[in-house]
Amino acid sequence: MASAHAETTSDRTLGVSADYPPQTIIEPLPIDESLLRVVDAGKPASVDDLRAVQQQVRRVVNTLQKSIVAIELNDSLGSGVIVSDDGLVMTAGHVTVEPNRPVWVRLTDGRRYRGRSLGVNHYDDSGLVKITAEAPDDAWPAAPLATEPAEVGDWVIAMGHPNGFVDGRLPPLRLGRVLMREEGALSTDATLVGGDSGGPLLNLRGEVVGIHSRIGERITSNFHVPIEDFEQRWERLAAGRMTGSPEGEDPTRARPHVGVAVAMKDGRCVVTQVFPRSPAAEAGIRVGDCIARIGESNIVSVTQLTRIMSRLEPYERIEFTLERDEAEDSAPVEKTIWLGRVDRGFPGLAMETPADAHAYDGAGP
Amino acid sequence: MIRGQLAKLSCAGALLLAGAAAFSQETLEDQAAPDLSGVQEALRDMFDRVWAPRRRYADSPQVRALFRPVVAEAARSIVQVRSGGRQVSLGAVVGPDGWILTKASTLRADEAPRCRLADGEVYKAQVVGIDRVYDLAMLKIDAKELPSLDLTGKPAPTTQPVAVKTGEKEMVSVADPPITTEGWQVGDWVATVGRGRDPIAVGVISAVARTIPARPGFLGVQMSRDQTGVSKGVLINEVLESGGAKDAGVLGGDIIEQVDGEPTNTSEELIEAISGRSPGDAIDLTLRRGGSQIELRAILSARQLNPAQRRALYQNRLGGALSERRFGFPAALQHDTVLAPRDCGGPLVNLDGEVVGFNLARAGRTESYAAPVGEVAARLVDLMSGKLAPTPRGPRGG
Repeated sequence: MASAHAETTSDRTLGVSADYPPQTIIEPLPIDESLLRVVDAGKPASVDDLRAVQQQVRRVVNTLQKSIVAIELNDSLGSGVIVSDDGLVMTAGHVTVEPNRPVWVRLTDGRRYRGRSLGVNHYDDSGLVKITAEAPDDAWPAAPLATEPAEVGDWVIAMGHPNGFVDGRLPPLRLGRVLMREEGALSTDATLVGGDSGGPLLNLRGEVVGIHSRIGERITSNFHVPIEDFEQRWERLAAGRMTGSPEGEDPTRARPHVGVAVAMKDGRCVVTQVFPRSPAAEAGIRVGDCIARIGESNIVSVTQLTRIMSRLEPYERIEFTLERDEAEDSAPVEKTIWLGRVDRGFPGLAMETPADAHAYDGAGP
Repeated sequence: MIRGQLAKLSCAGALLLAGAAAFSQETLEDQAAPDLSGVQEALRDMFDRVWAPRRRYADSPQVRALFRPVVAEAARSIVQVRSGGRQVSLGAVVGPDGWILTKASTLRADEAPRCRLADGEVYKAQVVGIDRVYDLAMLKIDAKELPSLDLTGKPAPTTQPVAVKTGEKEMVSVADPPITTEGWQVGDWVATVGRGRDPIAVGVISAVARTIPARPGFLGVQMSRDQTGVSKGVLINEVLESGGAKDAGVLGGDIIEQVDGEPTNTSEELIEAISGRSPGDAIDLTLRRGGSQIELRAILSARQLNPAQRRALYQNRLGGALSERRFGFPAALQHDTVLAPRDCGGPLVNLDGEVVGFNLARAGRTESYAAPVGEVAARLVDLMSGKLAPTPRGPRGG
């Protein structure tokens, strides 16, 4: 079964490489002479041409099927495709919705592995996940990414887990062609349905050219996020940032969330509470720690701390430098916090006594 | 449904884009720079409204025309099955003396089906066998020396199909390995043969044959708690809105005496008669109403769905109707051909013109199911022999 060990700090995907394209295991497939003629002509003209397409489609499926995953959260099911040998998975933004959420990544053999959601872009509907569990064979089966965008008329292959992962069913294949391409969207007649979100659209070389996103009323209305969007947004996706906000939410109400209460004692900013399962708790901040610096700034007052926090964004990563009175020569402890997100109206904890205690949670003055 | 609404594809979170304003005319004509999300919505709305030429499709008329030599042989045996004045399924001549194989659940009870053959001749047919497992029907027409499909020598299934279990749980986990038949793989072209030169539609095999779990069929009647005074049959006090009974014309106060010719004198017997049947299955009810006996045919429906299931069903229906009987097959080959339910029941061929299966159902937006040809071939003898003859029905006295 899936590795069930508790997540350590390093599992939480702090410091994901922002290189694009990532290292992949699977090479793009070659295309035979006979198929090249069909591709160049733009359409098959004989049964032999159909056979050439068929042969290549078989190859793509056999090679790439193992890279397709199901992504499971407690309120959402979708698909994804592994795109780096160290476990990066491309998916749709609306599958994970927010960064830093625990997810289960399920491979075609049925086994589930732990992962974390990284960045999400709600405009493009792009999203990234990192498998945090160890790869069974030292490397995850990563699919190659197309370097050229798909063009109208290209033959494409859609795979995913429509209607959810089904035991004994490998991700079903659908064959289609690119119908339209405009900035921000790719539409094909490879049919999709709920559960397919986040699964890959592949070209005849087996390269990812898109990620499934939406459908319309018509059977030919199937929309995918083009791979170029992922390339453009890669840095923020890999950094675990959210761009745009989930449907129905007011983006102006979002504030970065740390999850501590602090009080000034003898001129030092001391942590008096750490909220359970908060970014602070995950980073290992403890009650009694003194926050000496946030980023480059020395902390001298709660007002100043509030001001610094108000300039940060949800899901940013920021270094807290802490002083911990554990040993005589206790050196400052550095903790990287992956900030969360709260609604502006978040009430925080009840006030601590003494009177100068403040609950800090990003809610602001 | 508002044009331009797009459904997102994650399972539980599948939502329509909210807010008519996002894709109404105002957004597109708005001179002020809309925010980025509005532009994206507008572009997507445009895609849904702008039409892509049909020649650009994978299943275009041009691609279908390439299949003419592939389907020519099988097309001679294709039959259009008609009931109630319209086509209800396709079928195929499987024996030259007028034996026709088609789908069972789409046949109407109250009239003999009519078969239009490839040469245009129309025959009245008799239903001589029903296989409920694969929803197949064998028809017999009075004709000889017809071109027929030769299904002998088709490879038998390599694993035994498991008995299909009906359960309340939606996705029953299947432990057996997928059933494979030689000669085809995932990715292969398949053509649904029609009466014309071109196939009805083409697609590719999406997944190897596997067991499709059954779902409980739902009749939709409430049995009266007080059955005193009812010596034979079960008194129904209410007919529910959803469920096959309502459409069949069952009324509160009816007494169900038989299901498919078998007496049902207690509520347990009635439940037993329905359990194990699939949504889409037709059952024949013998009722007493007032002093008379009435025969009705009801098509079982699927149980009440929870919100996630309703959303999934909604999405699956986007783009086309689904077959009612699409659950509970021991082995079904999945392909991505877009088919209308009334175009199911006939053969599916590969690029070599070989029959690989018979279309069972349009099962979802992305999937159609076909029974592997080996499974079908193994059932032909029973279907023809009279062993699976439908229970005799007819008006009775009263």
